[in-house]
Amino acid sequence: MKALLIIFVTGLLALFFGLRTDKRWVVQALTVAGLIAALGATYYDWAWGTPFEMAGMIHFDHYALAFSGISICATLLIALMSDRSYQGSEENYGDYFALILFSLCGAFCLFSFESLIMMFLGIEILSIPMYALAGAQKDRLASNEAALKYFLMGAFATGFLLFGIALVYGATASFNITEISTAIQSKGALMPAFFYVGVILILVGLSFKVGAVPFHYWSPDVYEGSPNLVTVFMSAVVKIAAFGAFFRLFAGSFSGIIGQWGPTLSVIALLTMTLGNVTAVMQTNFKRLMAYSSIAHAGYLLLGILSSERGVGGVMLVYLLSYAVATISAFAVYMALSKDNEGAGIQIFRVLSRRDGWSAAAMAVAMLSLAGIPPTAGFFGKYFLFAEAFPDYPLLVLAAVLNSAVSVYYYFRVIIEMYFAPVAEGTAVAKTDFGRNYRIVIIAGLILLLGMSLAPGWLLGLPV
Amino acid sequence: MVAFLFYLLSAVSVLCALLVLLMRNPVHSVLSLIIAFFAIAGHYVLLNAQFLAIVHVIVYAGAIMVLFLFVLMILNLNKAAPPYQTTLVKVMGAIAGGLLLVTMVASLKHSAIQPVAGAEDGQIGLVKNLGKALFTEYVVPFEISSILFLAAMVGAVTLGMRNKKDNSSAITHL
Repeated sequence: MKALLIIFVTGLLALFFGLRTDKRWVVQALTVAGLIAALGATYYDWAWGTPFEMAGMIHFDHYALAFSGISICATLLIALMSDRSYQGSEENYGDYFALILFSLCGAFCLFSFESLIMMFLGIEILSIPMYALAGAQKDRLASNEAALKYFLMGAFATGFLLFGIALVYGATASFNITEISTAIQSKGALMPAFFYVGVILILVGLSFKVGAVPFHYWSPDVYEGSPNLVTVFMSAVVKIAAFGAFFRLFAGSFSGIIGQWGPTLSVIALLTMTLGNVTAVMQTNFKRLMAYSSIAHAGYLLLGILSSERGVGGVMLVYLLSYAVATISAFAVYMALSKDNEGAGIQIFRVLSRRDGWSAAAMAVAMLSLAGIPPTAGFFGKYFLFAEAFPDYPLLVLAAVLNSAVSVYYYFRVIIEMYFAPVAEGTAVAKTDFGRNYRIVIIAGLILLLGMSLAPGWLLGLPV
Repeated sequence: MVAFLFYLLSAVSVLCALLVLLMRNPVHSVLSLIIAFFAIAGHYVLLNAQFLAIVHVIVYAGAIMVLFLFVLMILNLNKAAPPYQTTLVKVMGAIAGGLLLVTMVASLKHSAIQPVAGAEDGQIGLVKNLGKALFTEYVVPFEISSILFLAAMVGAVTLGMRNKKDNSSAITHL
């Protein structure tokens, strides 16, 4: 709760500072300072503080604090590199930072809710700033399209979610996730049938938010159309938040009736990973490639929701952190290379190894991690997740492993482009000018990706 | 009497909700939406929740629908919209919506609806009780929703504000 208040106040300050000054570094430094303070407060609560609890509404337990921590880290990396994006709209800089911070407040609610009301509020607080940010480049048609598409589809999904919540309330007379779980156990077969319809409708609403097939149609267009910085935030923090809420709700109250929603979610997971990977193979635009890659990863992560009875919160945490850091790191390199927000193909990485060795190495590690190649963090995330899901869903895990093999193809295309693209002899390769902030993010991403692979057990052992 | 009013209001709200979708002229759609909102406000009155009913009429039927009409008039959209969906999309929509309808009807058919605890005396929707609930049990969501409204406001202003650099792109685009 301390972190939520700190982030909210920082957002307010960013609004006012954005009005008073035209210097973007002021707002940026303020945001970074606020995020670091929030990270410190989260650690304090984790280690020494008594977790804030408002009975039946919100409870910042260790699960919530751990997920808050990783989403603050991801936002910190994103805030550091907001250097060249938003070109042509600098004067609204404070507003954009404030909206990102407000969205992060929504993510905190999604990690800590005890009541479906708080979950709904959290999803709205997370999404509404995103609708506005997707359209931040007002003079670019693709950005307008992204905002409108995201908003309309998001409003529709919210309708499903609310309808589901209303039906669940009608059957159990409670919004509290613990009381819903108790009601499921005590009523058993006497539970009215519309309760299960409600659960499925909530599942549909949340599947939309995580971008699972068949509710994924918005995501490639929105990812491509939004300004780069917003795309990174969507694919990293919004994904962490949506999965944090999905897991908390389904592990906390619906894991007892997995027989009712398990088959549906299994089919969704299978479709999501297969369609995401197969379509990603055909992409040439980098942002669309990353959009389909994020859909594929959502498919793997749904395996964690399916195994929610086994208490795999720590495994989800490791997977989401490795996915988010790899995505941010890859986008940092991409954003440093692309001068504007127009979509660029993967040719933009051609012979990057000669232009800037360090960032090429970071990009390669990020791609290896997303593909799940052993020494990187992504491998451990995938390994633990698949190992937990294997006893119950052997066929689904087999499909996931095959899909990971497919994904190697398109992730390696980027690496080949960087290291093995043919260059005519004697042509001088110009060095690329990477901004200072990008370099910080790129190096931080590299360290995190390799460092996490040294201590995956420590992260897993956190009492989530 | 109450049962009769309930069925009347339900029929009116469902019929008007259908008309919102079926009307070709956007202004007629908005007008049927207003009637639907009034019918829902009537439901609130039947539940003895006067405050919710008034707020519903003021906010939805009043402010939001007037805004809708203004936008329609300003953008000169009050002509019949050309049909832009293909037959395939219509069929797909009908199948998907129909499946949801069948599921809902089948699941509600045999279910007994139990009354919610505390709602028997009919006092739960009065302003006093609502205020008490908002500031005790639901104080956290009540306060947190201020972040939501602030974010929505900032987002709307950000989208609506003109960039300082290019003054040429004024409202002429409309």
